[in-house]
Amino acid sequence: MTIEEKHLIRLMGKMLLFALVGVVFLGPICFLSRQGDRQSLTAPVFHFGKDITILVAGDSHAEASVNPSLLPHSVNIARSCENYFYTYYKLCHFLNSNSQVSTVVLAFSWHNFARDYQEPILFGDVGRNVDSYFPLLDQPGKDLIKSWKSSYMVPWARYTFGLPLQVYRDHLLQRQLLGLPLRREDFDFFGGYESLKTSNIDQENINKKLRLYYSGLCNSDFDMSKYMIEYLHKILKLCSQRKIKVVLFNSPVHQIYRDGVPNRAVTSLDSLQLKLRSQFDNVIYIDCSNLQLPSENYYDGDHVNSRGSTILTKYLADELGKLIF
Amino acid sequence: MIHFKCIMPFNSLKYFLFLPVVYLAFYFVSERARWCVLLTASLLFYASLNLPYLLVVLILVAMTTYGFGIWLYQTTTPKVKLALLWSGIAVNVLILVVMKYLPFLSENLKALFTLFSIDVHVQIINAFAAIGVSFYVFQAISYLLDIYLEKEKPERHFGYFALYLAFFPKLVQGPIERSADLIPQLKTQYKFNYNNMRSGMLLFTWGLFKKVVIADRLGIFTNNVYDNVHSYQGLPLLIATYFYAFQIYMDFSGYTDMAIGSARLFNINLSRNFNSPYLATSVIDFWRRWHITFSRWILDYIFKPLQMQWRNWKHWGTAAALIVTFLISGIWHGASWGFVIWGGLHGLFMACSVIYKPYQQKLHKALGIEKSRLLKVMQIIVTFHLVCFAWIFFRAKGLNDAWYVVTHLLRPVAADARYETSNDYLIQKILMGQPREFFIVLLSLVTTVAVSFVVNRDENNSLSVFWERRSLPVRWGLYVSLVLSIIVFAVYESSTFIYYQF
Amino acid sequence: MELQDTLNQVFREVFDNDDINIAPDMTANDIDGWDSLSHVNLIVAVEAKFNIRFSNKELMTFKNVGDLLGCIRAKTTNSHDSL
Repeated sequence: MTIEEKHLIRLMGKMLLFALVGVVFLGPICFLSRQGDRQSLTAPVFHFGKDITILVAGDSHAEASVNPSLLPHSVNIARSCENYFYTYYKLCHFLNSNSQVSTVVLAFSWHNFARDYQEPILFGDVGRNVDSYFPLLDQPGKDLIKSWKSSYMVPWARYTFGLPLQVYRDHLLQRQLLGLPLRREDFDFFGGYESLKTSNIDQENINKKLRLYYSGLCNSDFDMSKYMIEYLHKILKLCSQRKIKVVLFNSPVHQIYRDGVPNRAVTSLDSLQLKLRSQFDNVIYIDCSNLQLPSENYYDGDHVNSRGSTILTKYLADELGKLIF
Repeated sequence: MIHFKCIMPFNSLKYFLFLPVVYLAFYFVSERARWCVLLTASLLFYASLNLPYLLVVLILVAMTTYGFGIWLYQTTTPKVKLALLWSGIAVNVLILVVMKYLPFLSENLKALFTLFSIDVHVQIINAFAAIGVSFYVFQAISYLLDIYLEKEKPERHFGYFALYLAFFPKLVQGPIERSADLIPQLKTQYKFNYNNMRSGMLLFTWGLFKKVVIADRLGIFTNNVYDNVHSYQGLPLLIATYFYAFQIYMDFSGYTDMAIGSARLFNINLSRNFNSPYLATSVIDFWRRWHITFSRWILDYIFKPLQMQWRNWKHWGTAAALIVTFLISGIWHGASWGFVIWGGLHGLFMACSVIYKPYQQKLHKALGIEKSRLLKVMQIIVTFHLVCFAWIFFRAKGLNDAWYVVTHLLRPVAADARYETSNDYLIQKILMGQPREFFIVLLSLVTTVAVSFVVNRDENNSLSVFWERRSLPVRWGLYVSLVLSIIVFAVYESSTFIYYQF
Repeated sequence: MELQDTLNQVFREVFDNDDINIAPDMTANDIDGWDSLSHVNLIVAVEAKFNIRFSNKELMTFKNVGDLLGCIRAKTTNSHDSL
């Protein structure tokens, strides 16, 4: 054996040893982390009281407009930027832990289906969503969004192997190690009512938003995303199996914003809700987009603020009361 | 600033698989075929950018420069030689201009025509991503010049010549190598070298740390501010500017360390590119320490000839040569006015210092402080601030943004109705809503600066040399902490190297 | 060597150092303060002293003092011949 070959063997030996040290060192940490992740999903915080029969879910529209303290027996688990793919998995989890729920109120608006807005978020590099919702996904869900990008690989490595990637951000693990009880805010995906205090109706901002939602990144025409429709179907099927009523509601938007929504979007949404109501007998549609509240009730073009949500929640409570009984 | 997303940057999973595979292929293949492995790997690496026309550009530059080099060497008539030289350079410059500057030129041409109300249809061409072109074109030009000046003979083996341009560790962001430095190394027979393997891997890991733990984390803050400058004024702008100075240094020197480390596995020593640049005592000194291969190139091939040409204007000739050279340097960095102004500022700073330096030295001598440590510290601080100021124009999204930053840098922080308490404001506006990340970035910066100071005491200023001298448990402790820090603290959200777009 | 002595004198003036004694194999590294700035001053002083002018190509090829000497010799010999 030449000297070079001896050196090569020596180097490989050292690298192997280093890897071994790494495994020995990281192994227990990974194991603990993995256990903790799986256990955390069974935490008591996911079990709402027996009196909670209404779940409010969806994206920032539901997050801002439905105040659970004004809607009896309800909990708001909506979260900003959450599209129907993630809402489906979230509802699977929450409904499993809460068999007493009989109604789900779901945000349902034109931008929820805008393909050129939603699909880049679903498949693209908007990392935080994948990271937050990963523990809730099943294999088909993971298969749909999987990619080599770090926005998928990092959460995948974290939850599958328990690798301590960015572990300093993991409030969950930290609280578990300290033996503290887990709260809503420890779970990124949990969601909840956001009370927005200010009001700012700005034409330019509204235009920007309209362009963002409805012109996508390449200025195309409005097209419905088949994935969003598919996952909405899944949500409806899931609820129908459990005999849960689904209330699709289109939250109030400011007139300026409403005027800017493309006609194609409006008609597509309308025909979709008609189709869904005929397919599923547990689906109701409440359209609040034309409520035309005074400007000070809006946070921005398409979200109400706390004043607006008070009005809307009371209205919703009335409508639900009429429908359920 | 457009950050191009590369499919296989050095800090990607793909590269971590690519490098060992290439090394293994390189090791087990016969000596004569080794250049094939490296060249193929380099072409594959370049191809992974998903911009196929780049391969065409590379091959074009390689073939024309190779041909011109031999032709130049064989010609004896001085006039023809000069003509060949200029043609060779012109072809390369043309390729570079077409790739990088056509969109910029056509936009500005259109603006000019509009100004004079001339109704000419100017085709706006979309920006091509010209990753790496600036670097190997510069290498090609230096090759031709060295042959013309009879410093070097042309390389007859096309494979080695192409490898000189395309060697994958230095392909997309340099260092810019001279043929006399790189080609002989490529031709040397490969013998497994334990120290090179070890220090190569170490340097690569250290560069990775600088990039993903520090530079990308700093980027969270600087991007937040510099992408929306009008939402900020005062302290956040100041912090973002200082952070950017460190971000670009960590990013670029981290990349360079990864490049040098990768190359070392193949027993190739690439040139040093950085030497504690923020410890420079003047802007001239700064350029001896920052992007050294680039500044040597413009020094040797642009500044010195210009300076000689204008030597009868004494200091003014030198000053003018500096300004022109650095305006060109600005343009090389990118097709936007921000870069040109950045380059021009550096040229201006140096030109001024050339003019007043004799007076300054007399003053210092008279006051008896020319050897004072305090003076040196002051000079370092002043130089750092001059450089930071210039970085504003480099980073800002346009001249408007840059001007906004400059005029609002020192204003008091504005009250903002959206935040209820000043604590909230501190966290949201200044720490940008991420106090934990802010703390980590400060900690890691302080650690790295401390390490640099310790390494700097040794005259080599080289991490690998410093490392080798430590005892075994210290070394292994350091390896473990380095790798662990990368695993735990790496920032994964959209990271691309800043110098990629050049 | 007369030429070398004259050149030495120029060096001493430009670098403000009377202890300089040039040799053909000396380079910029061997003399304190010989950087690109003073290099220009040196060339200007040499051209003035010997009444010659270097071409761009020649300037780029000087590797050491010996090259400089050789070039000066060639230029001054030529001018002598032409007289």
